[in-house]
Amino acid sequence: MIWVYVAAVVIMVVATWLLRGRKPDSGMTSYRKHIDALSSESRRGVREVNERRRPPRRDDTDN
Amino acid sequence: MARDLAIDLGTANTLVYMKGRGIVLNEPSVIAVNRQTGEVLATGREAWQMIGRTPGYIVAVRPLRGGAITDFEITERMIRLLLQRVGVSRFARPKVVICVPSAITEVERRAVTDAARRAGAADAQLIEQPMAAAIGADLPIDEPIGNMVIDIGGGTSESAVISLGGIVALEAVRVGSFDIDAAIQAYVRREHGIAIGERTAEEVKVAIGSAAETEDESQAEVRGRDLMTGLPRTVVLTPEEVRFAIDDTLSSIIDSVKRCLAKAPPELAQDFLVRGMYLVGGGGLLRGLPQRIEKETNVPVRMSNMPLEAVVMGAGHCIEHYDALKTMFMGARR
Repeated sequence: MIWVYVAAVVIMVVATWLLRGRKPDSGMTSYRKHIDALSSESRRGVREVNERRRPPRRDDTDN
Repeated sequence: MARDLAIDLGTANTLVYMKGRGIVLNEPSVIAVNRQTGEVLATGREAWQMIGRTPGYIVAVRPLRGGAITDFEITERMIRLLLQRVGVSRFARPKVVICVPSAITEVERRAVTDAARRAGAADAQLIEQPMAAAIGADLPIDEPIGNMVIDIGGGTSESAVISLGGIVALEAVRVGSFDIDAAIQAYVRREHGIAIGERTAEEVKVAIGSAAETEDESQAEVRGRDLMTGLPRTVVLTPEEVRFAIDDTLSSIIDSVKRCLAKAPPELAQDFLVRGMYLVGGGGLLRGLPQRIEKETNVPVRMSNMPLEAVVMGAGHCIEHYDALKTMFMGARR
């Protein structure tokens, strides 16, 4: 019987921990993330992704 | 797993950015449909070539006008086909960020998101074109600096002042490069008595159109249908005539830029004099337009490095950083 109580307590602790992890960011943290995501360094990644896809330019003078 | 997408659903062109892959599609926003069966016959470039040249039972249309959906059903089918063409299966259900003009109404917004969801998107979020353009043009919008972007598209022209990750001032008019083409069509009809199609008008604009006098003032031959006789006829147009024809349209675009400048807080307004305004969108490629805006506003104008792709690149950045930037989406701020 004791194992049932122990299991219930463990489940509650785990559930509480998981829910804490999902707590939405505070206004300041969320805004900081928003601004950081708009930084020039962050945007470089998108340009690199697109450049990788673009075929290398061929010299028009090549035959 | 679904590859999330950013879509610049423009009046003129549609561009698609796929997460982790970059721009995967760039085509005219045109769809050709069989009127009798309702079957889609062609999309994109192939359908664009059909405009004005189809038999009675085929209709080649642009489902967006002024950045807004004019035909809901056709737009939905176009988005569905876009998803298929970039390799998204019916069951993949990606998240989609769609760029829309800031001036669209609540009903128009819902039409776009509903069309995307019905076409297979798990979630559809909207972002204002000038905001996406500023991100894509790599302006330092994360800093406390006044960044001004002017986006001249096919159906709308939008100016925005952006600072610290948000829009500070915004001005939009439903006038764009298609209105420039329409002005050329109307002028040729009125002054020369011939009817020309919208593709011919666009070709005239690209060949000799300008917003201010340029070094190359060569003329262009235009072929159309004589309104009196109904027979084909050729006339010669000068760049000066084209400038006269499109002057009112350009003035309304430039007036909206001036109104946006007037809305900007003084602390940010002084930054424009140093940093200038950034021009993006296909309409910004009109010869002499940056110089004319500069002359009328006394603020330097700079062209973006990627004027046609800036908007979708900005939306692509939002899809790559979806969680951090979701507060930027149009629905999230209300």
